[in-house]
Amino acid sequence: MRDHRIVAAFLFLACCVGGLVSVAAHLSGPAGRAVLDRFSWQGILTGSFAAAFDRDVAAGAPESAALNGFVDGATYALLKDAGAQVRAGCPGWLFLAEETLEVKGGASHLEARARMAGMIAADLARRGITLVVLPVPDKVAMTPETSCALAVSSQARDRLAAWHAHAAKLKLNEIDVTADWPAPGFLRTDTHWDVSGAAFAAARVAAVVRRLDGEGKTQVTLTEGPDHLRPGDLMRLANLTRTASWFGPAPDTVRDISADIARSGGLLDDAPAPDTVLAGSSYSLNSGFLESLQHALQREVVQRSEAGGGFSGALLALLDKGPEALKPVKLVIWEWPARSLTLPLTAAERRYMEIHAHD
Amino acid sequence: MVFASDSFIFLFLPVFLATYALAPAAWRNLVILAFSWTFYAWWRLDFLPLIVSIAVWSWLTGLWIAARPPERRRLPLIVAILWPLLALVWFKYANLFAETALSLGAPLTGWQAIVLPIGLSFFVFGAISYSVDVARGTVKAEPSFINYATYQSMFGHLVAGPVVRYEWVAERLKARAFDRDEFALGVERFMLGFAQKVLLADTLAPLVDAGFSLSNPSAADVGLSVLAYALQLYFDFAGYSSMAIGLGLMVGLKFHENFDNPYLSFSITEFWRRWHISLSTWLRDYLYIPLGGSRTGLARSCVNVMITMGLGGLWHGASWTFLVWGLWHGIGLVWVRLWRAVGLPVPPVLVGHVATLLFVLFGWLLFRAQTWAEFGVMLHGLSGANGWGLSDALGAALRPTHLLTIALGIALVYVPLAGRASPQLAAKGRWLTSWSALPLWLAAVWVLQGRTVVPFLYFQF
Repeated sequence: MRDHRIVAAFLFLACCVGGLVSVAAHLSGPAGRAVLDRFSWQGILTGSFAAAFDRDVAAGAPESAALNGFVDGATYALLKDAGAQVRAGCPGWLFLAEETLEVKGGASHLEARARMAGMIAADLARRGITLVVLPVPDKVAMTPETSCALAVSSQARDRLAAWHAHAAKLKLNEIDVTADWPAPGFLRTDTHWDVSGAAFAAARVAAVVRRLDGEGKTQVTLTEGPDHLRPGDLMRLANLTRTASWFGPAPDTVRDISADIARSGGLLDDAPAPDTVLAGSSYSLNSGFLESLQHALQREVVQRSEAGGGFSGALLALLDKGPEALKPVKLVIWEWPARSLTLPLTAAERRYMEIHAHD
Repeated sequence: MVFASDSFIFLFLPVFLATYALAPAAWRNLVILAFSWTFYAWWRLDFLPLIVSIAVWSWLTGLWIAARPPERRRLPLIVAILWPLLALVWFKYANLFAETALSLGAPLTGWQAIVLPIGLSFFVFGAISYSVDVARGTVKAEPSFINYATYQSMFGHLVAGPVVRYEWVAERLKARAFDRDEFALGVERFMLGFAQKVLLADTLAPLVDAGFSLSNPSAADVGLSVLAYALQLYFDFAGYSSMAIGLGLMVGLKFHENFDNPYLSFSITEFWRRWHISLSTWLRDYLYIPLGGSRTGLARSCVNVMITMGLGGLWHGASWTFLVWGLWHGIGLVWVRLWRAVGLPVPPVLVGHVATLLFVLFGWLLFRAQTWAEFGVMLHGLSGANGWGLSDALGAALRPTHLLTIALGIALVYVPLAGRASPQLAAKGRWLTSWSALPLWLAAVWVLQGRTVVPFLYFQF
């Protein structure tokens, strides 16, 4: 036992020194200069410098992406465990864990957001802008046949219904896409809808907009590209992209959508600026939703959506720009994922609510 | 800085060991001290003067105590204990008293919450034990400040124990030679502790957090959450203690074991002989015995137990839930004492074990709850008011890896039983543990790269 212990100790030291060399190499480059730029006595006193430095060291630590991918892939294949952020449903199907989990204080977060939605609608109405709200239901709720009885917290299950109750009281122009949803309507390895789901949601939005604002007059033609493989964001989150061919799941096969808009400019091509804005989350940036929306509305739509924008990131950024930026806008389509309802409020959301508390 | 972090493994430790190895023997304690203070300042430099001042104070008053005849040491002892104790009370309990006073309507406007310096409880207990031991004459006062401060501040035990006593390290602080086998054993202990912490405790942390944040937990939710927490806490703290012992051995300092299979206990008394041993023996030697211990009759000894455990509970944190947790265990210890005093038969082994485990697990509910409201929610859930089976809320947080880790954790808790039954199996177990240390550590380091660092649970105490 003694001899192997000494060998193990030697290997331990070799690993530590190897790591030290790797970290030193990392810090000898731009990362090291960034550390020096961040240096401050205040940071040393309060520990914030050391905390940031710890992250720099971690970034320089040796790691093997291939090994990571192999172990994560094997864990998925053997245990059906796709990591902390992703849940594995039926074979080949992945879901965002956030869609299933209970969030502490989720009910109060949802209520606060409902109040905020009322404030935003009133804010836009004062500027003469119509607001149309599109909550995107959770993938796990819309595709139960693909989740293989994945556990979903009652908070997650009930949040959209709770929101609808608030929205009805607020008399919001809300689109409910849950009825007649074209199952599955979502990508297998991605949290977002697929082309059929996006087109269905766009058609639902268009029906409401036509009722509120009449028909569009712009000719929009859609074109579908060829099939190609697309590893979804959930595969990346679960670190399954490297070993998909061994352990699964297989990437989605998708087609890209593009829109051709026939702008009827005058002699000087002075077509009026579009008066419709899409302020959404990454759903509005995926599976040709914008293109399908323009086609369904027969009008050009300005894309102001933000990946990771959550409930109101994109819309608040738009409202932050001041009255001038919204001058030509008559209609805002506000898309957000239902799962964002129960998350803690962002700093921007809290700030907006404080500013408009007495409107 | 956390042991289970890249900064420690790939920067602090190799640089420290290299510096320590290259330093002349006479300078080695100074190297340990310099690195230990750097280790502490890594968290926040502005609290370093506090622990340095306590070290200086205890060292100077220790010399003062030793200079007095034994019968005239009371005053310097009181003075010696005063500053560390005041620092502990202020930094650890001022918030609790202020919040309690505010809740009772006291006009404490503008109260600013005080930050608790990490490791202060362990540091203060080390200082107090040294002063008392010098006053009792069980140890000689340390003439060298460097040696004393090294004992007090050695980074291995600085922030989360064990509560090291000066007598454990007194001889080796003065002179020690490098021992290759001891160093290798130290590395092995460090690697095993690291693996316990990262692979077991940290894996369970998200499940525990989810379980204890449920608004309407079922009985099964509470059961699973507290079981996961019991394993998380044990592997977190036992892992840390193993790393501390290992780091001590690497530099030739021997710390005592802090855990001895506590979840194999057959009574609460036995549990406290096996759980956080350095704290329970500290409480026994410096609180329970001075209060009169068992020498004052059954009734008074039971009161002493309750006082000791209540204060021991409060030591863990500035919350009344910790006090009640301590009292809960006090009740358990008194119960065992009375059971024996009345002459009732010892319960069958299995009954004693299950009863002890259930008692301890219920205690962990109190221990983990941040507030009375949270404890109330868990208690309500335990009653079955929200149903008996596993809820979807916890089911959604429960991953196959959690179940595997819980199963592995339970297996590791009970494996030593086989060793007790057969010396051959025990030897095989030691061999297997020793051989698995390096691969487990490498696996833990690999896992660490994909995770944010999880601080040790006992950092908050």
